[in-house]
Amino acid sequence: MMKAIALWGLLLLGSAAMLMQGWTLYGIRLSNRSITALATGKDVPLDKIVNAAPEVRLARAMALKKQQRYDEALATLNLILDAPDPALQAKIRYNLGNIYLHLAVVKTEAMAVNEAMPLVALAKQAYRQALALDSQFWDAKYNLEVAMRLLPEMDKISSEEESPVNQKSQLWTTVPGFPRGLP
Amino acid sequence: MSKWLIVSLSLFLLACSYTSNSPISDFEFLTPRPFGYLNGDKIRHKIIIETRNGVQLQRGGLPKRGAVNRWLNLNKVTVNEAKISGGFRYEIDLVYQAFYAPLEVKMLTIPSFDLPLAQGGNNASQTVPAWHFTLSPLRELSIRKDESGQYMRPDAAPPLLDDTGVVTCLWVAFAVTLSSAGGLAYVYGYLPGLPKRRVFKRAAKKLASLSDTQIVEALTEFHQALNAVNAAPLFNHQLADFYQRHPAYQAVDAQLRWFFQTSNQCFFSDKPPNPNGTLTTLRQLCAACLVLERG
Repeated sequence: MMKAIALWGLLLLGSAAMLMQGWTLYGIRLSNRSITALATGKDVPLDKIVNAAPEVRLARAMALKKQQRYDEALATLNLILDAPDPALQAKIRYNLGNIYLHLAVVKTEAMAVNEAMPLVALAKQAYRQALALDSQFWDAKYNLEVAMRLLPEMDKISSEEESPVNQKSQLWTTVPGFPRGLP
Repeated sequence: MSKWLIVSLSLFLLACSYTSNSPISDFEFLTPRPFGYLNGDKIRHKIIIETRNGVQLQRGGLPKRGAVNRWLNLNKVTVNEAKISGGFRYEIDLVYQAFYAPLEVKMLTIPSFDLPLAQGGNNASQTVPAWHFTLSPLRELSIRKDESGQYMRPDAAPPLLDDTGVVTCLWVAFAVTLSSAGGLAYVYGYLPGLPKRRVFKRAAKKLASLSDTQIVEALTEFHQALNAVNAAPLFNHQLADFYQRHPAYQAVDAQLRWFFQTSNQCFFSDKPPNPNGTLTTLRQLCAACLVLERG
């Protein structure tokens, strides 16, 4: 009799777990469908985005960037900066840096240097944060170097000058722009 | 000659006294290769320091996590302390990260710092030397755009949600459900090919279809059920042996003895048993055996 009760208990538990996992799997499949749709340029209703997983919102931010709706893309990314998965967080910060860098380049090419400077600084900060999370994130290394070339750091690195940071002395002493090299 | 001996001895004693007074018995600064680094790379340093005479490291004086200078971050500082004879052994792990974009291979320096030590009111320190390494650029000086007009690496594609964990859990839940359902089917005798578990179930079904006048058929049916469980004809005097092989049935010993007595009376006596209530009691006995059969 006890054996039968135990088996009934197991059956109930197993069925409940199956239902729960099935429901979760259904949610994941729906989210993945939304991500694929957004990546292929299709629109996804907003109500599916609001409480969606950070991956879906990242996909939406990238779709907004493609549509040149940069402010909305930045706002969406800023909302998911604290995603629990460090690998995902690194990607979010890298993509955030890419938007800032893209905007900075547009401003620089339009000769709006003063507006470009803070954008490059934000891009560098985002890339650094991405690299702090994943130091082997090669695209982030590369784009950080692009940003640093665009707006070099003030410090002249030399053996005599390795002093700790003095925030008050951080002044822009260089004009941003790409070194064009020789033909 | 004796003058040289005295001078040498004095120098030796001086050296000995210096060594024994030093608060540190061992200091090692372990560093990785000093070349081939790129923008954003992490650099790990390990410092091993052993002290004597109870001298302790002042952890408050260690470098703090955060920016060391504009291009260098200290991401992690961990200290492991162990007591050794007369002092302490410290293993200090430091993880730096360099953010610098040189135009050509450049030598950079992680600055030196002092490790503060103390014993009571006495203070001392051990200098960790500066460490030089070279950092290389990732891209050439001149800017080239790729075919799409981009000069920077593209966005990271949003990853799909990983469902492997959920699928595994789903399979585990399915296996649990299936095996418990199988177990229940076995217990309730629904599994084909396992007739032993269905002996009393079949008998109960047959008894339910009989009337009070068919007491002989009812007793025969129950006899057959007991024989099937025993795998041989079972008589009253063999009950003790039967209980040894099937101890669960000892719980209905009194009813089984009643059954054999009634059966004897019915088949071998001139006085047949009172049919009133016999079939009902037999059905109750069969139901009790069915519960025992199911475990």
